[in-house]
Amino acid sequence: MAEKPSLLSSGEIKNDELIKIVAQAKKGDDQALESLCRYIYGRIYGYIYHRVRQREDAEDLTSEVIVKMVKALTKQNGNFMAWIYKIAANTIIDYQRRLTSRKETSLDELTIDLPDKKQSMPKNVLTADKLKMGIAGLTAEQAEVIALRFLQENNIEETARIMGKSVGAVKVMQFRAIKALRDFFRKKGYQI
Amino acid sequence: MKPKIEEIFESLLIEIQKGRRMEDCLKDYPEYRAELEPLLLLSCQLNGLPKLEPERQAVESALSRVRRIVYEQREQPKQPFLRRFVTLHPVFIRAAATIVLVLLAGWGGISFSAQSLPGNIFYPVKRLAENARYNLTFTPDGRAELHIAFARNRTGELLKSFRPNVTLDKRLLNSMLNETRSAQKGAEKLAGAKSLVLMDKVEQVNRWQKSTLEDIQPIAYAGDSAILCNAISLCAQRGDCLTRGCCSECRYGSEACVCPWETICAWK
Repeated sequence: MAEKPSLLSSGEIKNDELIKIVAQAKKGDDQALESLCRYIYGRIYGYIYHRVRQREDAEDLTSEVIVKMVKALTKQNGNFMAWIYKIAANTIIDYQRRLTSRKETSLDELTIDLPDKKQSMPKNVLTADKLKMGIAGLTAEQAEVIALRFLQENNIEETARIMGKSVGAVKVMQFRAIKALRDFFRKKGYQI
Repeated sequence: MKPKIEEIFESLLIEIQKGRRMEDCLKDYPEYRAELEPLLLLSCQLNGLPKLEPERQAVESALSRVRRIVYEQREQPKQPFLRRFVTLHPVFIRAAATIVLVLLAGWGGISFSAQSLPGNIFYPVKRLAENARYNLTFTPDGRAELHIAFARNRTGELLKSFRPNVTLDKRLLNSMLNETRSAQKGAEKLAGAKSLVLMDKVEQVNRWQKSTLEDIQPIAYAGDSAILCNAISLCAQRGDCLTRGCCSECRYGSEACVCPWETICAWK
């Protein structure tokens, strides 16, 4: 009997281990499928959360992505993570289309206020809350590149593959996104 | 060539990720230090943010959905292959429906056009179908049979479309005579009993054409009189040839048999 690969729900797994688990899940191994779902949930949730900025919505959308993945798993070919991120990106696009009544906020129009400068919060420390507000001011593509590259820790090639762009284009996009984020925090008086 | 700042930024991110100190990295690019330093600091802070952990309840809820889907997929009765294929491929259904419609329309059009006469909008369909049938027949005897059938068709059409004192359809008359000639040539090329049988059929058609032309000649348009005379004469001569077995076209096998094709060809 083939040895089952170990998988921690919250831990990182190596690419070859992931390939094995995906192959077993495709063959109908329930345990492998459950492990895969747990792992993917953990990876995709963060990505979706930083794009939609609502915990409940992020949970619903992640769940939707997992269901789509399970339904289409047997037809999957090529890079698995790129495929999953593509499903997630499309799910987010569908979600954003549903929210037609919500007006898009640009960096200049952003009305969310950060805590007052006079408060005792350290000005050079980036917190998740600050980041959430900062990302809200980025364009959709910039937010995606920040989420994929820095928060999901994909390398530049993986990010390019997921976004369907060239490596060069992603490098430029990432640089501009970081600059836009820095400008946003500087405007708000943070020493970043 | 000097690398672009975006390239430098990416290479420095990789260096830092590998464990090199940011200060050391920036020494390689002093001219960009002012711009890159805050961006690298921000990137490092982004990387250092605690990972978002989903709520356990949300994960369990998603997993229970997955289990339900897997259960439903397994419980679903297996459909026969063809039915499954059709169900899974609406494109296949559309393609099949289109093919059926095209075939039905084609078959209906051909059937409907079978009785059409020259001048009718369906007549080209009839001729097209005849051509297709001819091109799909590859044996010499089959082709000779088709020429006989087409000669009959043209004779019938000539008879039905004839109006007293109205000029004849010369193209139809020519086509009728040419089909008979082709049938005769085809039959001559064959050997043995098959040739004799076909020659007999050609002779019958030729006789029918001659009698048809003779019937319409007295009431035909006066201007067509000469053409009809020629055509009747041609049929008579061909009948002679067929009876005697002397020639079909330009092979003057007998003194009594004079090839009249030049006259007919002038009508084209």
